[in-house]
Amino acid sequence: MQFIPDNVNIDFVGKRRIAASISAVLVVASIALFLVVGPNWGIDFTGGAEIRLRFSEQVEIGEVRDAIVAVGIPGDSVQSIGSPEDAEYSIRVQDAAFGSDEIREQVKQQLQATFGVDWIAEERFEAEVGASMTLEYTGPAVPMEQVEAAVAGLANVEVREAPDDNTFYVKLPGLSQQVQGAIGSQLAGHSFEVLQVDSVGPKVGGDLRRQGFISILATLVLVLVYVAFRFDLTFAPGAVLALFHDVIIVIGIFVLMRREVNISIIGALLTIIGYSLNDTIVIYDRIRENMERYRRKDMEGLINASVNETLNRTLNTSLTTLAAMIVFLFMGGPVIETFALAIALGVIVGTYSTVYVASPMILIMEDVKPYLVGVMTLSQRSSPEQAAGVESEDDEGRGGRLRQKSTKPENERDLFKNV
Amino acid sequence: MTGTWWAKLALILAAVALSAYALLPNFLAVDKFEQLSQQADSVHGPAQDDSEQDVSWLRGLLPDTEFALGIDLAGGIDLTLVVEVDEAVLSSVQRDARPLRDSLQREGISVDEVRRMRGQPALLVKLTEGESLADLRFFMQQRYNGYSYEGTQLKDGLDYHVFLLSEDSADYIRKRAVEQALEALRDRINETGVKEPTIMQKGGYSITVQLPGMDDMQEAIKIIGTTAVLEFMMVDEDIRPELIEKVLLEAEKQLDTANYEDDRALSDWLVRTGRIPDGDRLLWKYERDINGKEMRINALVVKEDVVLTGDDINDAHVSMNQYNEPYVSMAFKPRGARIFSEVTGQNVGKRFAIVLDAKMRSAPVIREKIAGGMASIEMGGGGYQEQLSDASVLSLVLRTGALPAPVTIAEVRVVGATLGQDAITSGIEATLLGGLLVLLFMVVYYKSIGFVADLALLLNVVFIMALLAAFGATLTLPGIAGIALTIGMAVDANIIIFERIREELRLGKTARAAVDAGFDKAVSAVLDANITTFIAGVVLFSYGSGPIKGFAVTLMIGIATTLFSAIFVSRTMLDLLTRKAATRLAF
Repeated sequence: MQFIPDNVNIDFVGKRRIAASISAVLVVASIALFLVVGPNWGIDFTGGAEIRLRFSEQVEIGEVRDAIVAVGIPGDSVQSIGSPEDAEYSIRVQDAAFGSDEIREQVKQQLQATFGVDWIAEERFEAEVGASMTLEYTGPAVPMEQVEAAVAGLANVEVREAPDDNTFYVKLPGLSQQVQGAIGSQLAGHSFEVLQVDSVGPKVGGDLRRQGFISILATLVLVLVYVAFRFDLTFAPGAVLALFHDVIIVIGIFVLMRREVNISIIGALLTIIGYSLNDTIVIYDRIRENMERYRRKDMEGLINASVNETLNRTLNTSLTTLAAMIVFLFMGGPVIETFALAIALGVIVGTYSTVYVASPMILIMEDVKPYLVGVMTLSQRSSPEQAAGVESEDDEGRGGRLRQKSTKPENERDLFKNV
Repeated sequence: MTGTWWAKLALILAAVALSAYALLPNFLAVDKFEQLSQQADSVHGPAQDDSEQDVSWLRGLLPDTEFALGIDLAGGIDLTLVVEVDEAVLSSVQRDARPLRDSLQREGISVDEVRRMRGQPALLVKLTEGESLADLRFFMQQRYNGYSYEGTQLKDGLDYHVFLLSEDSADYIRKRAVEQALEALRDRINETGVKEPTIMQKGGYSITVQLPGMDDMQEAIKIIGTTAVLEFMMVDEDIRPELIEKVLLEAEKQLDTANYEDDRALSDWLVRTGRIPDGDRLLWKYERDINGKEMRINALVVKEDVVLTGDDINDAHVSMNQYNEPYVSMAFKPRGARIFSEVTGQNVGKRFAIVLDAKMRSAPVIREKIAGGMASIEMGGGGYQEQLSDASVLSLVLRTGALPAPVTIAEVRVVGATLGQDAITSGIEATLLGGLLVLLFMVVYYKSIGFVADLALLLNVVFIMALLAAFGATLTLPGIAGIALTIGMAVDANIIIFERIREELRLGKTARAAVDAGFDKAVSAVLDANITTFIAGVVLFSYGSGPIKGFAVTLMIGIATTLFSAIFVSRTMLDLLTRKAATRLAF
């Protein structure tokens, strides 16, 4: 069986202007969506808490909303998971310090009632999971037992001595504790099971977002270096451009769909980079081989032929990977759903970009190559190591290496000789 | 080529056999084995019949390779804690203030006040009128060289000399604080009996704690927030070791396993039955085996009155004596120093027990009355390395009890057991269905040669699972998705090669030649494509935590096994199929 007949010859490269326009629109739209609308960051990146509960009997979403609104948490934090009969809900609050202001006030009021209005000299606040405040007081040292007694009426508030004189810490109840408490008391008649609690402090959230961003960039750079080393500098920009294209568009679709962007999405994006490049490399390998065989009379035709020759493989591979991920999308359960969605989208966009972005880019790079090589030859006099990335092995090393003996401009040959 | 096919086949079969061996414990009734072997471990347990012995002996033959299920599958709590190292530095400076004042007085330098500068790791010294700053600075340089003179501040019309803790010393304290927090956490968590907890230092000053099977977040936070209890008790020297041995043997016979293994219950029973005197207590010394599991080492009877607690200790660290032998030097707070001097005076020649969270950690002999608030504990026999490690452990124990390391919780993730079970079920179902689709596709599309790919794919999955088990990798839900993804991507290598063989056949080559050419030409693309994905996996591994790390691990292992099965296994099978020159490949 074969989807694509042997003698197929679709003019992919000829449509490069149309493809480039489509891609450009999609990329610009994605960036605009990212900047203007902004992604639906998960609590991994913003800090906050998310709780998943399952009630033992039918509870309307309205009832859950009312319960948490009663304690000041916005009603739209509640979402139903699965079918309504499951009575499963997720409550997500993205502000790690949410609700702690009131508790802080209560703590201070109770302390002031016991020790006097001027007793508190200074207050510092830390919004980690289960926020804490550091209090400094005036006057003689007070034993911790007395402070504990003063705040005894407040649920989940704990007091601890600090190393400084006249200072102690007050640990405030965490967000998830507040939510669970609210539901437990407001919906007292219904029993529920806590399926999952995620609580992330704001500091960790910021760190994770920054590291996620860095890890994506690091992967792109490493991959660029690898492609430049294994192929040629004319190949690398197309590959990396295609990867940027894929990552940006997948994020754009996520913003559009209001899907949550969390740590597992970063994982998915890195996988997409690996996968999309995998796809690209096979076509590149073929282009390189054909360039060797036919020299390069007609680059456009050569690239087209290479893409067509590998078309069966490109489609089949994407299909099998897509099949595996789509099954996960529908059957894997809510935790893995967004992850599978991101990879499935990445496979589709990645396949498109391999054919329509990465391959035609070689054509463009071939056009600018003489100019590029000229620039590099100039700069090479001052820094020869810059050129080393282009070609570091001897030409005889591998048959597939790009060679251009007859048409190679004089200055280019100089470049390689010096390396 | 054809002459060596049997060797290749043997290699593949060996790999399969090895994988099966590594996977075996996961498929057998592991729980039953464990139960039985545990019974066998406690030699003192109730009488066992021989058949049980046989089974646990069989267990010994199996490799120790089992998947650990991640928190997202097993259910449990995953916490990220941050050690408040700066708080630890401040409190360390705070603890230096009083000893500094005392030793200055002893040195004849009279001071009005020594205290820590608010919010700074610095000491403020206010000299009495007429004392010279030069003397003070010389003294500080000699005895407190962790501090450097930073100038003099005028405050409320008085001169305060500022000595700032150096960055090196602060760093040392920070590192110690993390060590201490780790020790305290291990100690606390072992106490609760949570099975197979993970307590690990992450980058920076954070610590990852994983508590599988636990789902009460408040309880977990409470465990972590509780500080360790350090107590000094006198050893009851009237109880001879032979007597302890005798009463323990009796206890083994008469008590059930649960009570015998519970330190408190065992000790209470011994007292209740009059085997050890009223007011005494039996304590165990524990040691961790290579798997980190705590085991009883030896028992000691102490007098139940607590002589000193962690609150009475100021600090403890490892020092060297003039023979370059490591010892633990311990400093007491004033109250502790007074009591310790009294107690040691009355008990020369006897031992006292250092007890952390009801476990005996050390029982040094009192050589002489120790006055002055400083004590040294010399290590027993053993070589230098052993003494040094014993000393570091003991000083860590003392500090853990004396100075609770302040930790804050930066991240908590709780997965209920129900959700974990759901995740396993849906994950496995999705992987099976996805895999089935891929297998079906290959057979439909590539016909008989598709079976080769399918067989390679099935072996690939076996290899992945075996390597995961062999590395003791943690299986997570994204990890399972990673296996599914690998299945989808692994056939890619086969597809690349098959498409190439097709092309070569189209050029009119024989099956034999087409297979050779197809592999030769396709392998470089397969390698390149997989190496780049591997790069992404490496970055992902270093970035991700928990579930995502599990995904990165399966992705990387999957790539390695894919290369083996697609290039080597498929090749061998195709070589076998095309051994006869006349063979035709059906696509």
